[in-house]
Amino acid sequence: MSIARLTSGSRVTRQAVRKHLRVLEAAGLVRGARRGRESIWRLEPPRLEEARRALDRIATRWDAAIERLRRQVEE
Amino acid sequence: MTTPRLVPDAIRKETLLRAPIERVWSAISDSTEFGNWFGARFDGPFVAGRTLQCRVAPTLVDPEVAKLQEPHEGVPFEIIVETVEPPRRLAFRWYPMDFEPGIDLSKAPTTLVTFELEERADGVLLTITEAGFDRVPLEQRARAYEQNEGGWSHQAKLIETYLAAQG
Repeated sequence: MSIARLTSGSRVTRQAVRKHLRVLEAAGLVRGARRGRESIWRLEPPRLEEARRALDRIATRWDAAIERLRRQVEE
Repeated sequence: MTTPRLVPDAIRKETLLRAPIERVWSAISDSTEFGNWFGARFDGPFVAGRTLQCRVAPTLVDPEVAKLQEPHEGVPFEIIVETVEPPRRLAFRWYPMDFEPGIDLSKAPTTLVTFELEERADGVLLTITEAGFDRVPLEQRARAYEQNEGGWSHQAKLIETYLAAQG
């Protein structure tokens, strides 16, 4: 998806979108490829998936910890 | 500039505990009691502003989970206590993953873990929030949780297996 398409219909400037995309690119969440004068941007699903899985694991850890707390305080 | 939320930056858990608020507060705010169920030992009490040295220790409340935690016994970590507001709120910061030895921890991102207690007619509503994941670089998260054999991801898997086996 090009920046033109990303910004069409919205109030956000191209410059702002470009800045956002660079931040996302640095985080590995999107990848940009030059096509002529434009860059085409795409999501990087594997990285997003890794990040979500990491959070899921931490959430599961908390579920288990809560059950141990429950054992301690409930009689 | 913060990264837009393609991945959540916080985990939030709510649970109703059927116990008096004093008992729940004690289990959260007394570092020895906390360690007993959580599975850790702290080198002092939870006091706002203190940094505590901690070690993983098997939980005292569940022998089967304790067995799963045994391989990680003694693994050191650190927490920075931020807030102690009896009997409603306790918060500390920690590093949400294992780091390579020699890393400058003062530059590493932390997450903030908050325990909030709300008295209800039938018990205590406890909300646990861990926030700040958006500041943890993805490479670090992925590396720590995908490849770390001795760390929390392994422990979480064991606990998942244990919990699944309970049905």
